[in-house]
Amino acid sequence: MSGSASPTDPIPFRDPALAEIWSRIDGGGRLNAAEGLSLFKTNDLPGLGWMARTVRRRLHGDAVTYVRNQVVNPSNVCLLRCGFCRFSVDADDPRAYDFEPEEIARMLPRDISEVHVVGGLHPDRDWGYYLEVVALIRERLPGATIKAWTAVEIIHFARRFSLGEAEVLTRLREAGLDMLPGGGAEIFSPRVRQLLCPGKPGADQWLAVHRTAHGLGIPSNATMLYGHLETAEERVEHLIRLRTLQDETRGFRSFIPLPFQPGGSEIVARRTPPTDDLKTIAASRLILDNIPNIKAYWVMTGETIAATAQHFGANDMEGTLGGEKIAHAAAAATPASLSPKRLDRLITAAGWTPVERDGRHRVVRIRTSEPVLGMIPFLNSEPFHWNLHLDSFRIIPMAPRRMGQLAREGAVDAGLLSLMDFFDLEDAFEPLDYGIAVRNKARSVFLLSARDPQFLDGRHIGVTEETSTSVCLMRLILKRKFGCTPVLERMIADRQGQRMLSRFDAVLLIGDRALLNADHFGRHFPFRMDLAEVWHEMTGLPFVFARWAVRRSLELRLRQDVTRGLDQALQRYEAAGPGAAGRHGRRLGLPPEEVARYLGGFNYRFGEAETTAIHRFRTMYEEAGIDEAQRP
Amino acid sequence: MKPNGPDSSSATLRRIDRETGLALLTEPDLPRLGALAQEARFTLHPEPRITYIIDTNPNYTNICTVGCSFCAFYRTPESVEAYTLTAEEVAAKAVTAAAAGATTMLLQGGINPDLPLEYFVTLIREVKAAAPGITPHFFSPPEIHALAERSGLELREVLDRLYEAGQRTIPGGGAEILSTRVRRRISPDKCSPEQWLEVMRQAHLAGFRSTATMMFGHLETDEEIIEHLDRLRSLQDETGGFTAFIPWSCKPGNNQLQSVIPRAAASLRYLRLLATARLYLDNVPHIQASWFSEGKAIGQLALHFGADDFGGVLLEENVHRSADYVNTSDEGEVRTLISEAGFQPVQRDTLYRPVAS
Repeated sequence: MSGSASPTDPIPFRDPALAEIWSRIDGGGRLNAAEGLSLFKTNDLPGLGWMARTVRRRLHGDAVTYVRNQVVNPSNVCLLRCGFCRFSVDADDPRAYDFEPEEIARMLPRDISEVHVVGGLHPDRDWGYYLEVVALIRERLPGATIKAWTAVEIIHFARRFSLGEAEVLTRLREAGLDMLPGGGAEIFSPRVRQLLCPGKPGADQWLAVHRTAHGLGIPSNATMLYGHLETAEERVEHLIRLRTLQDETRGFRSFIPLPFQPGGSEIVARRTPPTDDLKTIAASRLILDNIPNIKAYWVMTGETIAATAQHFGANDMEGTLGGEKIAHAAAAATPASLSPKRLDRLITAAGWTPVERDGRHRVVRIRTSEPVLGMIPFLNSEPFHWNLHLDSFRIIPMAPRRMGQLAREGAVDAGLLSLMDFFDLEDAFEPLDYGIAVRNKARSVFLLSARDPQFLDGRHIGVTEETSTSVCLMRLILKRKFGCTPVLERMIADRQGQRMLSRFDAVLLIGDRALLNADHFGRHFPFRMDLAEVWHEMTGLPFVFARWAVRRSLELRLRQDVTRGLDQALQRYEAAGPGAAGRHGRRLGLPPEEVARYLGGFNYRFGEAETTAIHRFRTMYEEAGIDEAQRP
Repeated sequence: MKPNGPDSSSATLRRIDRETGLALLTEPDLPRLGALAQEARFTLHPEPRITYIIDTNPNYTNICTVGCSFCAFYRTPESVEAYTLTAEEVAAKAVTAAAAGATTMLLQGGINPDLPLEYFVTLIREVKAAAPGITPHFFSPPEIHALAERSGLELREVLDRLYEAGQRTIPGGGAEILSTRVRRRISPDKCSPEQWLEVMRQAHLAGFRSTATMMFGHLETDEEIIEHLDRLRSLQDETGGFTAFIPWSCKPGNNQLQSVIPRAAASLRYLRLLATARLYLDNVPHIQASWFSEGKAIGQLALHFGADDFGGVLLEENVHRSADYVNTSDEGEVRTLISEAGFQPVQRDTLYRPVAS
């Protein structure tokens, strides 16, 4: 027995059911309802927490994220009277309030990156009001993510204004809406809904709105209100219904379990114990294998349990939440909002690294004085970071392009740098003989085009914001092969509905997005070019997308730690054999054979061929005379 | 006296060294640490039971000449708020507590230079006479040490007098952190770590059983926490007199320390410390979680981090209250808290034996 000797050692499970479940999860299996139930029924809280924490670390490293955000509750007037709500009132109630769009926009601070808008089902407001609220928020905060109106409100708008739900969502998006919050799901069980919130749209309707939103390219969150009249079986059923929809749409960003606040509601006498809060977080992490983020909502759990929950599967603290009213109306005993400084201290004190994110989960700022190792949350990098144990670094996930920026700013000290970033940073970073290279087809770097790529000169190509090296490879290939110089434009994949795609002549997709969406986008862009394959035809060499590098100014011991850590990680990956590949694709819902084929196409240890390929690419890129000013 | 008290289990834990103890205390994987502690706890106590005691915690005097920086309770002898209870007043409290179901009275006070040995002996006698169902769990080591000093008697002689009066157990307070460096800074005038341990050694030899405490979350280092545990473990090897270990975190109110650590940090450190203590103190039968000092939620989580006891219902308490830290409960709620956390509540006595109900 020792402290941090080897995090891969199995722990002493007291509940044998958990030991069995762990071997299923670790082998890439998915939990069924009976297994899900045994997570809620177990009394082996540390065992359950350990499984969830291990899964959470593979996905999110040492980071606990939060966003600077503001909650807007435009009105407390609501047609519904849900049994758990202490916020809603009738229009003629003296407590009733109603903000005009201008008032809402004015109350928003400038320094936030997300606005969360949730109100009630208002009996009188017209459709223009809702569009104006979104439009004015967008006008005031052009860069912020606008997360507005729960599915229940969307249904209300559709009914009241005789519009289809898709039409409601489309119009709101055109006004500036980015995503839907996850509220209103409560608990899906019709039995409990009948008792708790009889007039509210049911599970099927809630899920249908989210399905429609996801289909339109509008992502969303999902919630579950627990700790009232529901059974453990009903919790599991709720989670599995979310997982099933996520398999279909991939549109849920986060799941947020909400403990019921008894307040004066007389529904239950006591709030759920902290053991139940942690169990629910952990079970959610393990059952929802396809939803990336699990949030501990500090407003309802309290700061201490939210911080502890980060050890039980959660990876996000939600946000600063200025202006929150609904939970506090139900007597949540928490401060009205938390400053970033307080969240930073709380997260650090809990043993994690605070990472301020924006509304789309992109890294804004990392708060640590320890060395940071950047991890790329793509499937093709998992062989490294799933098995990487480095106590001397804080492991933080981030998109490749952001890693390059943070490395330049001095906020990242080691990482799998995109090749172009590595060229820029070579003076400060020492290359290691590990990285991501493809022998032939990458299967995840596609140029999808509406026309034959040789006719793309001067045309618009949409590139996602995370790309860096792939863009350069594409420009090189188009220039060398066809003499084309296209116009590149950053596109926000989430904001890009089908209709908006028509303004591009082609799109470049990389990473998991390409794996998942290539066929979907293929309907608009019938010409598909695998860039690594074309490179291989041109040069006979593998293509190197990224290379591990470590800051030269770090002391030798730390630089050696990285090399040793990477080597051990790959050894573990290789020892598991190709049969274990399936476990890597579970969160994306990919079949094991496809994952094995995909991962099998990469070379992670660099030799002479990769070194030659790096030099060749650099020389060819420089000789091609590509206008750097035109980088998007 | 042999190490096997009435409540030690025959099962043994593997002994870990200081280095391992330190690694456990700083283990980043909190659930792993909890799992290891629970494995040890269930080795010693295989049943999923959690014990609690119905007790009261009054103070016979708030006059104290020691002046520890973390204490908001004490008053100087000249203070208008100074008080000292008579034996009759304490006995009356015992009668009230017994009527409310209490089986023990944890009685402590400041170091009041005016109180002679006879006062203490009388307290025990009066309480025993007035409330025979109440076990007197009186006087922490600093009080006993000071009493011996000012009465000019040997420590053992004082202890024997208390024993003769009918006292059998001693509360483990006043240990704070058993490190000379820390104690010089937070309680320079209190009996030293060596003196604290000597009182316990002599008490155990005289036939007393006692608990041991730790107050953390101020100036101590991780190494000093392990040192504290190690000193307790060594003495326990020698005497076997400790029944339980009870850590609590320093309350940052109304005292000179005013901690800057967020509350959540203290809570997580508490869980780590409790689990480490369970693993390190292989010869101490019980680890007590304190819903009272750490809050009910953390008290409940502590039951999954190595604790097998939930402390007392605490019908009366003044010391934490003086630091603006108020937390109350009753037996019904204590039982509910234990059940909610997944365990079976069992009432116990001062020696951790189940009370037939």
